[in-house]
Parts: sequence; structure tokens; C-alpha cells
Amino acid sequence: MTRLATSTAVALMALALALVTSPDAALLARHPAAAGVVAGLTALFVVALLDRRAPRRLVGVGAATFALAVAYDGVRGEHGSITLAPGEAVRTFEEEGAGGRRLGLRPLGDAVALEAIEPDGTIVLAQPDAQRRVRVSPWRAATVAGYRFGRPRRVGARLVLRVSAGAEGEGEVALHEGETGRAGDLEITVARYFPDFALDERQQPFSRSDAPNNPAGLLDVTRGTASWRVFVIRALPGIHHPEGLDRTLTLVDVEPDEAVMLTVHREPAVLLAGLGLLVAAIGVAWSRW
Amino acid sequence: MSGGSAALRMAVVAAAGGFLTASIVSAVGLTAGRPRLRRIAHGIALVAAALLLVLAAQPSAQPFVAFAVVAALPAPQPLALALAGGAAVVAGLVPVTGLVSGALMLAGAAAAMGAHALGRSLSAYLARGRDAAWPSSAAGATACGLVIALDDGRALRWGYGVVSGTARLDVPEAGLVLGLTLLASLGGALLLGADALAVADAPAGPSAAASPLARGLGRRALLLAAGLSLIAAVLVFRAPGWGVALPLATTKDLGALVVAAGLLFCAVPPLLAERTCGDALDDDQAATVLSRLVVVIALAAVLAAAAEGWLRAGTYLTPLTQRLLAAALVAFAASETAHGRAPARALALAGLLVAMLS
Repeated sequence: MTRLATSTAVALMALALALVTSPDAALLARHPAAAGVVAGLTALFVVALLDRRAPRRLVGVGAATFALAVAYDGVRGEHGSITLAPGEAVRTFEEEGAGGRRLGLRPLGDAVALEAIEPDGTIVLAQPDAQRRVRVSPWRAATVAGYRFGRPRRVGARLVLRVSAGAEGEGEVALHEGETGRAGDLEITVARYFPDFALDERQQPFSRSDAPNNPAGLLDVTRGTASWRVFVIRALPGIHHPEGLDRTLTLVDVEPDEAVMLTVHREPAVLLAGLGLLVAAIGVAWSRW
Repeated sequence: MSGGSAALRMAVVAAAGGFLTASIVSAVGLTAGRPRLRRIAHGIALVAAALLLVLAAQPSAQPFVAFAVVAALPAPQPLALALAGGAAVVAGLVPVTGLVSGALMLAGAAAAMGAHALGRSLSAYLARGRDAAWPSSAAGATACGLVIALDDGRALRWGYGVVSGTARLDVPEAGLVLGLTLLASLGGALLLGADALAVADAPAGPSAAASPLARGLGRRALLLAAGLSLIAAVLVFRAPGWGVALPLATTKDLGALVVAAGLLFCAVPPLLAERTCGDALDDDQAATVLSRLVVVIALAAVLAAAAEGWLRAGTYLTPLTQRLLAAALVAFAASETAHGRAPARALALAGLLVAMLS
């Protein structure tokens, strides 16, 4: 215990924690085991700080509170997105797990409807059952039906995708950018939409304009544990056919639409996390200068 | 270009020039033990910081203004003032977007305090009579790294380009000067590092050199690289045309070039001195206090980022919160450790700067 509480050991643990939690290193997203490493390191870090005198103990208490809050929100919190057209009401949202992995539909606390979209991007959400209205802007999230709704952005157009299934016939699905839909046993997500597709000098795709002159999209297609990334472009149907995928996906059309995509979060331990940070800062400030 | 924005650009250029001048004067004053020069440097830095306050109303410029002001206020510290020169350039030229962010302003203040802590650590190192070639070599290597980072490493291929809208404008003359800057700073760093390694006695004095020729060449290479950095900055600034708004990436590149020039200029005076003046104990104590202060401000920035994330995006675990938390942890490590304090403080400073610029 004494060795664990030495300045060098504490400093090394803090450095390791910084490396693992940094979004630039992205270790948490890359390796599932990283979360376990973070939990273990945090426990050791807190124990080492608690083994010291009063101010450092306070830092340890703050760090422990913050870590517990983040861990609780990691387990019990919910994150995802929702796409709404004006007048449309939903009771579910698309939940996402670590690394943006889609977990399926999850119920909201109440029905939520999109009432209006204002020119500056602010939207008006209504909770019909509670007779309540709230405004959500790109700069201001709001709590609706027990969840925080934020970052509204227009998705503008719906991509009509045809899935040819050989002997099983054909199916169509219409999706916004970022939205997921099912076509038979395939789950399709529009990862990126290029209304006016072109390649720059580095052969990187970009959109020349917002007008759908040469629409194209990048799709994430999954079936069970298998996944593919498929490129579709209206001008060249069926140009990309990845190995192992026995269907052909084509971009048939682009339907103009006034839909909005929002992020949805529920983090019950947010206040505890703030308290932990505050206590840790007070502990550091109180330490011998 | 309107008269207002032309005046603003002039003010930014004057502020950046002021910070660079102040950093050089303060480096000379610190090395030679001349308090009068340090007072002059402090005055120049305060005037430059006052010039930057005209940008305080622009949300995207506020973190950089906070950095420059906090870097200028406590004392004339060459490293902090060189970084403030780069911050002044970014503050003046960064596209006007975004919202006011208290978290980023606190991050700017913490980074400036981190630069002061690192500067005091280096002063303590030199005041103990240690070899000045090591920090100068590190300054050359940092400048080299900054030039390599510009435009995805195009300087390695003697090229540089500015993205304007969807078009890319190649600036071959800037690429040529950047390539030369890279070679000169790398040469200076290697010559000084090799010479410092070759010195037999461990606590060598600043003037002790295994090869006076290598040390002289290294010093001149750093000076050449500093001059070339400034020329490259002018060429990049002029490339899209006078009055044309610069994209964010080019603005950051300009800031990096000014920082590189400042670091290289500040690295030379200690190499020329017979013995660096200063009180090592006083500098060490000040650096320790400043390091602790960096942690407190960084934690406050994390708290502010979490609150802003929850209010604006609906979640407190935003990338900014995570970056600031990582930087606060590194700063905590730097304030804790008894070994390798200067590298740890440099790492903490880098972490805070990355959080500010991301």
C-alpha cells in the first residue's frame, strides 16, 4: 500500500488513466478490455490517494465519486438518436452502445412529436400526453420525457434504396442520413450522404453543393455478425458489390424531406459526476502549496 | 476588406510581434540577469495583451485571448510569451464561429499557467548551471515537429497548400522555405543534442562544450530556422490574398510557425551566456505552485465542459470534457512526480493545448 501511494506511482497511474481516457488515443473504442483496465486503474488510483493525508484523501473521494458516476452512466445511461419529420410522433429511439454500435429501439418515457422547425434550426418538440412544449436548438438541449434531446440537424433528404434479393424478389427502404432501417434480414444505415458527389484531388469524396445533382451514399450493411460498407450512386446503379454480400443495393431516388435528427441521452448520475469534479478540485486547491 | 478588419489584422500582427519581441527580450534579460530588460519585456507583453483585448468579444478567439493575457500578466517568461505570440495570431485570424465557452477559456488560462510552470522549471535547470544545449535542442526538436505537423507533413515533400472553399491553392515558395526551416531546426537540434551528449562532466556549465564548432553551428542553425519560420509565416499569410479570410487549418499553421520562431529565438541566448543568472530554489518553488494551480484550473475547465455539454448537447461526456480530463490527469501527474518534472509539465501543457485547438 505504501509503495502504491508514492508520488511516482500516483503520477504513473494518472498518466496511464489520461492515455486510456483520451478520445484522441481512442483506446476505449478500439479494445473492449480497455474499460476493464480503466476500472482497475481508477480503483488503484483512488486507493493510493485515500492512503494519504486529508487534502489528498479529498482528491481521492472526488475522483472516486466522479468515476462511480461515469461508471453508473456507462451501465445505466442511455444514448442514441431519433429522426422526426414535422407532425410525426414517436415513442422510441435508436439506442447506441459503445463505439456507436446500434442496440435497437428503446422506449421513451412518453410520446414525443416534432411540431415545428424554425429557420435558425431551432425545433419545437411537444409531449402530447403532458401537454408540454419545449424548444431545442443547436446550442441548447432540453429535457423531454425523461431524456435530454440535443443537437438537432436537418437531414433534408431521404434516400430510396432498392435491395435486390435474387430469387426472393426486391425490396425498398427509404432512409435519412444516419438513420437505420431493415430490408429483409439486412440492417442498413446511411453512414454518409453526398447530394452532389465528387472526388477531390486526394481522391476523397465530397459534395460540390447541397443540391441533389449527383446523389451518392455510403451504407453500413449488417446481417447477423457479418458487416459490409457499400457505396451507392444513382448515376451508376450496382457499381459496388462487396464480397460475401448476396444482395445488390442501388440508390433509386432521393426524396426531399424536412426531417430533423436529434441526439438522445439519459445520464442519471450527472450531478454526482459534477460533485466529484468539484470535490477533487477543492482537494487539489487545499493541498500544501 | 473593410477598414475595421484591416485595422484588426494590423492589431493582431502588432500583438504577435509584441509577444515575440517580449519573449526574446525576456530571454536575454533572464540569461544575463538584467531585471531592467525583464521589466521592458513585461511592458511590451502587457501592451500586446491589451491590443488583443479588442478580440475578447469574439467567442472563437476568447480561449486564445485568455491564454495570451494570462501568459503576459504574472511575469515575463520567454516560453509563455513565445506561445502567446502564436495564440495572438490564432485569436486574430480564427473564423468567427461558435459559442462562448467558459471551459475553453479556463483551458486557455490553465495552458498559460502550464507554460509559466514549464518556463520556471527550465529557469531552475539553467540556474543550477546545467548545460543549456539540452533545452535548446528540445526547442529545435519541437519546432521541427511543429513544421512537420503543418498541412499533413507536406513540408517533408517541400510543399504547402492552403484550402480555400473546395479548391486547394498550392504555395510552392512556402513549401520551399518550410523545408529549409525543417532542415535547419533539425540540424540545430541534432548538433546541440550530440554536443551535450558528448560533454563528459555531468553538471556541465552552459558554456561547456565538447565541440565549440558543433555548438556554434547548432546555435546558428537555430537562428536560421527562426528567421525562416517567420518568412514562411509571411508567405502562408499572403497566399490566399490580403483580406481573404483564412481557413481554420491555415490559421493554426500560422500560429504554429510563430510559436516555432519564438521557441527558436528564445533557445539562443542561454547558449551564448557564460553562466545563467537566477535562483534555482525560487524557480523550483514557483514551478511547483504553478503546477498545482494548473491542476485546479484544468479541473474547473473539466467541470465547465461537463456543464456546457449537458446544457448544449444533452450529455456531459463530450470529447472536450474527455480531452480536458486527460489533460487534467497529466497535469496532476506533473504536479505529483519528483522525477522528470519538466517533461511531465511539457506533456501537461501539450495536453491542454490539444484540448484548446481540437
